[in-house]
Amino acid sequence: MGWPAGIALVAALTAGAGAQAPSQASNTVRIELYPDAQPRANPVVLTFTGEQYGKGVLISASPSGGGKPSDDVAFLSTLFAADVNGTIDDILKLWDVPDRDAIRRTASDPQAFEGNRNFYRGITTSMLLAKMLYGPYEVLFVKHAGAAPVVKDYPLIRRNGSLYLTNALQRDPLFVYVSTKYAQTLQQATTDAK
Amino acid sequence: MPVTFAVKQGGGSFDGNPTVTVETDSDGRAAATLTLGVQEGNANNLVEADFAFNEGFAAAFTASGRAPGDPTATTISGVVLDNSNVPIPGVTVRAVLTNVLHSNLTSVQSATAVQTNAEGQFSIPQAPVGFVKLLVDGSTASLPGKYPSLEYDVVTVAGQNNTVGQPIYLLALSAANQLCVTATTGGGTLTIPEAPGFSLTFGPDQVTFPGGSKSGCVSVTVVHGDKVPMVPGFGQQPRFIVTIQPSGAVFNPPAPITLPNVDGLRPREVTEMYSFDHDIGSFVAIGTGVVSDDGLLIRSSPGVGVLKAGWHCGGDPNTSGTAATCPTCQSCQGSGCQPDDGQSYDDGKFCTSCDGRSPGGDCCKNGTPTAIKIDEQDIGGATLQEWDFSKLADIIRTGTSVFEYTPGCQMPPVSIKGAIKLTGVKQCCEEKQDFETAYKMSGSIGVDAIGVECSVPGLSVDFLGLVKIGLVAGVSLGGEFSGSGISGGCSDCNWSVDGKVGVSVTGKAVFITKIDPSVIRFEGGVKGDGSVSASCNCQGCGNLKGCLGPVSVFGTVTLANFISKGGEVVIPGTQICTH
Repeated sequence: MGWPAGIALVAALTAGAGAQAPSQASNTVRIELYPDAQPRANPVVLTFTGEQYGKGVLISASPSGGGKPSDDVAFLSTLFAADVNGTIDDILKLWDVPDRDAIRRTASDPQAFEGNRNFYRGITTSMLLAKMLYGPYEVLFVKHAGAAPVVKDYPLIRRNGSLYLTNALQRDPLFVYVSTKYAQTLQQATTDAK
Repeated sequence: MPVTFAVKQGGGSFDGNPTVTVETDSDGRAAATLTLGVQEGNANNLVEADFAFNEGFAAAFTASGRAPGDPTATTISGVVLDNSNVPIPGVTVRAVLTNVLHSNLTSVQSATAVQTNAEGQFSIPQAPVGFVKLLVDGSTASLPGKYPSLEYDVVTVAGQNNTVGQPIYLLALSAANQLCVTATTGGGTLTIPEAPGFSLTFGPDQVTFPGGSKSGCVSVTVVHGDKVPMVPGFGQQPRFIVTIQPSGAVFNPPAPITLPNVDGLRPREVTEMYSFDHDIGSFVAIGTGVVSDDGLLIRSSPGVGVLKAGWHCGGDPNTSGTAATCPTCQSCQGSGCQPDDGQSYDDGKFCTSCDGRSPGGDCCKNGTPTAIKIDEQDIGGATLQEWDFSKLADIIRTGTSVFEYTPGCQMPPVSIKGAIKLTGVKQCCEEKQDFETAYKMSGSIGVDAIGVECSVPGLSVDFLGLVKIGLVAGVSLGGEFSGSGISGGCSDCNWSVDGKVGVSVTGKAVFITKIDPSVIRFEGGVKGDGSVSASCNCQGCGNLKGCLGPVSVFGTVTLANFISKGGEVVIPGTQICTH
């Protein structure tokens, strides 16, 4: 699958675009993009509806997280708990129904399953940094601290008031670009803040 | 055609009748003899001639009545002028009575010869009465130059001053336009520089001059049509008349003559040629002439020519209608043009002919000029020949070099195989006016499919900012070139080979390292395609066109929590286009 024509500019920036730290506005997520190795002027600005949580909201890895099921933080707590100690079925329950067969096949690969578990077991703390609304989807950006610190995005869909992970956006070139780039930007920002 | 003559004035009659109807003869002429009325006067007798259904006016004739008087008081007078209306003094004029009109065989009575005075005037006293031949001898003219002699037929009335009705014109003969001949030498073709197209050809012992001599000089002079004293026959108004002198000279056999086609008769038209016969005092047809192919001349037919010196003209008047405007291979019949395949036609080209097989004249077919191009003629069987396409191979190799960007991915030399069929032909070459041997080429050559798979250790592609991947690429190549044309022959360079080679790249994309530490898995591949076309001719190969690539990596990355991201990434610098 190629990039859609309407995303040509974004795709062109993929190779080397840099991004500025997110703004502090609470209801928008603002991303500034620059061509690689170019002066920091005249940025391409992408703005999404969402929230940024300053230094972040701590996520504890517990089955319920102590919060409501519809709560973002509670969902992430349950998710990380399943990744660390749960079974395949525990993980599948947190996925949107149309994705579960594909996830089951992937997770049935022991190497993949163990790779995923090892990743989450290596995490010392997780902080929710931002939430971005992308159509009907909510994308949560979480900073995982540990041996290999990384900011990851978690695309969610709300069904009947409950949140579920989804891979529906895995071939959406704009989502792939923006989510990856913004996660990298957040990671760079938190690293610079230390 | 019946023509009716009617006396309108003067009281004359036709054998006692006021009218007479006569049939036209084979030349379309009708004649009647009028007996004048008794009254004397100038132009006091009027006769009209007409025919049925004539939409124009009747022809009118006048005659003057003279009452005869004392025969001893009969005179003949007139004036002799040159072509510029300048009086010619010293011309000798004699009047000889003959026993019949238009005859000089028997002279009954002669009057004393007189000479024209300084004003060119003459008067012969005591002239004969009756049928008189007036002899005008220009040889005694006192003006510079040489003047011919003329004869006029006159009917004199006793006791009256008789004239010929118009000035007598004598033309100075051109000394330059003359050719002398004897019984054994001389002769040739006599021309008039100021009248292109005229010629008179005669040889030794062909001319008998007045007095019986075989030695003398023949001259020719152009005569103004309005100054010819004798009325041309058959309704002619010839635009070109010459006088051949000396008068009375006889040509045997007839001397071939050509005249300029001033009447615009169409090419190859047959017409009549005319001479003034002094014996009968009238222009007579001496035979046929044919208009030349280019329409410039009227040439006397074989066996036809000048019999006697004197006035000569050629060509029936051009008829009204479309004869002059009919296209080639058609002629005028009635009021329209009809096919005339008897005409000859040639377009002037060597490599056309009537049958299209061998050089020669073209022709008329169904009223249309026909010049069929002589096609190539097969002269031998086909032969197969290996063709040197090394230059073409170089072009293809250059175009596909995009896939050779690492030492581990060298492509083998491009292999081109093929066969060209050569057929020997004969070509008619217009410029060379000859046939040349050429080889006609047809056939095709194929480019064998070439497959090579190579790892690309030097290449690392950032895939979506998540992983770095390497490539294992396979390249295949195939296509065909076909050619046609002719080598040699009239043109040394008119063959060409054109074709296209397609290239495709397939392969695997292999995981090298993580950019995102949460990456669990990568699955993907490599793809690319393109084509290059090229042309070769005898001047070389070129016209390379097309694009190869770009090569792109496609795939899906599985991240922690089994979240996937996929897409396609074009590898920079992997597209080459030629124009």
